[in-house]
Amino acid sequence: MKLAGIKQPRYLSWRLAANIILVAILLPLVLVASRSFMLDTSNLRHITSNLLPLYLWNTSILVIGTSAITLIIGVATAWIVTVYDFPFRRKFEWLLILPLSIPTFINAIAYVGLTDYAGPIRIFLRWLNVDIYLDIMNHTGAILVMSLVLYPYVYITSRSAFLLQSASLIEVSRSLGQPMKKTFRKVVLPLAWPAIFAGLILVIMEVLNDYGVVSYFGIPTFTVGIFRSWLALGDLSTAVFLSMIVLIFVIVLLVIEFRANQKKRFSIDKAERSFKRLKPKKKWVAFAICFFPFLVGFIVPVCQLMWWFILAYSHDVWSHLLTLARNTALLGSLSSIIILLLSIVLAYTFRLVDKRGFKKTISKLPMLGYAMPGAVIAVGIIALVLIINPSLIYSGISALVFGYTVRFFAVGYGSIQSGFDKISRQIDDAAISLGSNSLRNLIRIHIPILKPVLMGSLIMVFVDVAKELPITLILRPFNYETLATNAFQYAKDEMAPRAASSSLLIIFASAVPVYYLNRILHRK
Amino acid sequence: MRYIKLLLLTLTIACSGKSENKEESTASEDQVLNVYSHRHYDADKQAFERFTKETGIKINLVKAGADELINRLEMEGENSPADVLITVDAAKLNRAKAMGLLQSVDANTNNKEGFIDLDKNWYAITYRARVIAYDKEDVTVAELSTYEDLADEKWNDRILIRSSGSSYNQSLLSSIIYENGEEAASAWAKGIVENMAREPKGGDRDQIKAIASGIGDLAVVNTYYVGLLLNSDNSEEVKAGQRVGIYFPNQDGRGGHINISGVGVTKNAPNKANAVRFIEFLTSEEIQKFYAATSFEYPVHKDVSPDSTVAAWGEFKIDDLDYATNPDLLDQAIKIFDEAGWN
Repeated sequence: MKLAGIKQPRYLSWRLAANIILVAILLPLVLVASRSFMLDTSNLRHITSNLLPLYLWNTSILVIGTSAITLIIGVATAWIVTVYDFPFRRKFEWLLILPLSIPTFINAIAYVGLTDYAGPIRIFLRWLNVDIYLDIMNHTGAILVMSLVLYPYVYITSRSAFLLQSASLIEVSRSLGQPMKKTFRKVVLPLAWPAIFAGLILVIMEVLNDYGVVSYFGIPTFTVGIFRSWLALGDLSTAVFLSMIVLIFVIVLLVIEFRANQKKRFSIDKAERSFKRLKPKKKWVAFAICFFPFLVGFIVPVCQLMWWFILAYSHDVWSHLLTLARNTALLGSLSSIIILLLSIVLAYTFRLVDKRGFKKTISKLPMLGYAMPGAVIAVGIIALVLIINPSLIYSGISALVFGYTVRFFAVGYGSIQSGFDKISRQIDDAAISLGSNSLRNLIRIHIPILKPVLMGSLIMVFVDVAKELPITLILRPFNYETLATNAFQYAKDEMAPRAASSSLLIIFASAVPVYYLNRILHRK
Repeated sequence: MRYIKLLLLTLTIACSGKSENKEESTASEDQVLNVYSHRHYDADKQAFERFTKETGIKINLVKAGADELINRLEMEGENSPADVLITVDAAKLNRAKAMGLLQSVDANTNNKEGFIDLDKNWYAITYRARVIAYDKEDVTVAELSTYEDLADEKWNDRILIRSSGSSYNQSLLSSIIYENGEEAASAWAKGIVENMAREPKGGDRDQIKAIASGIGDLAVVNTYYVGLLLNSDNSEEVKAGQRVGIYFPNQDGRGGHINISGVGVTKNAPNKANAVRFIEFLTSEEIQKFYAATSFEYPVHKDVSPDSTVAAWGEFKIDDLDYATNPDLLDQAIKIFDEAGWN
């Protein structure tokens, strides 16, 4: 709002801080891109003529498949848990998030281990004298393996959207004679769609980024192509070209999300939410729908890992486990706090300055790091460190934390930004008119209101860092191991049983914060 | 106020994390060796610990894929802290050599002939053989002969092999290009794709388990993984391993294909003397015996014989590594794989 004679404050220091953050986050990405122009593109023709259609086809199938499954599981369970009353409902609220703690690659080896020749299912079948060859190393298998541990992204965002929706809206619709199903379809879903889509984008970016599962299952996707041209053919420019295709796709998605969010309207009311009671039979249907994803996304892989853990018990799987856990915890908390602080500054500045139209899309740019393969980001970081001070390489974990910040900025920033959007601007204006300033507003008003969102994003970044692999492998200092690198080492060496102890610890270390995440969500 | 405290706490943690690492790296500045390694085995860890114990030289280790490490060495240039590069395939070492990332050093070793680079840019530590594992029930040894023969029609729908992303397969195809020319190699790759029992997927162990499941009859695998399978914690995996026989191909011709693990000293190694000591240590009789006993690999030392699991497969004629001296063959191999539709 502009009044004659009153100048809008310019917030120079906020702008300066925001610009520095933007540059720092985007610089590694720009450096990778610029490096690519220095090299030749002789392999580009080879890739485009022989492989591009294949990459496109495989990637599309995986993206569409995982999107469909995560949408169905995530939205259905979120809706049931929010609206209906059934046995163990309160437990499911957080149990359904737990699969998020399992890295996709670990889930893949667990399921392969479960179904292959030496796995318990086949052993049991042979005992019954009916041996059936179960092959999950294909498109369907990859889609399932990834969906089962990624659906919580959709679950979390859609549940918080359902919780924020005014309960009276549902009541109005019901009182006008609409059945629950129709209310859901006509009222609830359209209103919650932007939030659901935001979760879906995270799923899609994870799938686009996955290298572990697809390379193990022999499914050539864009990421496989990126690694092949960069590492095997030593051609970074072709690799960057392929990453750019992925990036453009992600930008399109972000623009769609952005448009959807513009139409979003919120009306938070404090009306006590009542849970719809179900008939005894239906109660158990609701229970089954919620239990199934938890069973196959968490209990089954964890049991397989436990079995492996027992098999490998006699080997030295214990030593250093404590150091590994400490390293993982340190990296996770450090990166999540840094991302949190930077996100607050950035999101708050964009709120103050209130850019519109095209300029506002700039506020989405830092999210691009999430769509880039970790290894490509690592190249950018190394290039940057070499420019600043070559002796910094391996001197500490700062390069590593920087890498995580670029890579996972979207995870924290996305939710914090939408959190800010939900706070009415009238509150800011009122506080300013009473003599407060922008910094004081942030500390005394916004941060307290946003506390649940902030805690939630801290935990999500922590879980992501604990699972991260390529950046950790390339940028870690000498002799530095984390739980993820240790698990990967054995898995890569085809000694899955010995990877079990550190995998279980990753899951445990992530499950504890997830439990608290729900308690925070619940307090809303 | 609480937020300021939180901020301070964060900064303290950040600084303490950094200073901790600095102390580590400065503590023994004169006696260190910085290792970039693609090998990530427990045997290496123990061998390195023994090296430190005997020489007092501390080993700083970074483990990542060979290509990543080479790429990193190239980017770092003169500033690279690395002293040695270890890979699991000679072709990768030769690529590093061709890029000018390694230097020639004189190390006193008792390696078998052919297990040292001609220009002494790298020294082999161990090797594995890329062999044919066959279903003992469905295949007789008399039917088997060469890698080239695997493209023959009689093996239609019977061959199991992992994806072309595996450096072992890239190396094998490079040797075939070197031996038979690009056209024949291309025809071979297409023939193999025709004969595959399923799309290439999984690791080497998975191929043998697929034989046990009756999906195919032949698998091209690395002996190291067969050794692991036969000594697995899971008794069912051991059974799967026992179902297959090991055949060394091309014994009447150029010999069986092997993958060499080797170590090379980097061009700008800050601790060159330590690096040479390291090479001599890894190739010493004592450590070679240790490797043979713990990691199911073949030792390179003249007087050390392999472990009983490995020795049971018998001795074999080894293909020389001439193909590996031309790193361009790797690029060609990848393109041939892609054109043949070998994932």
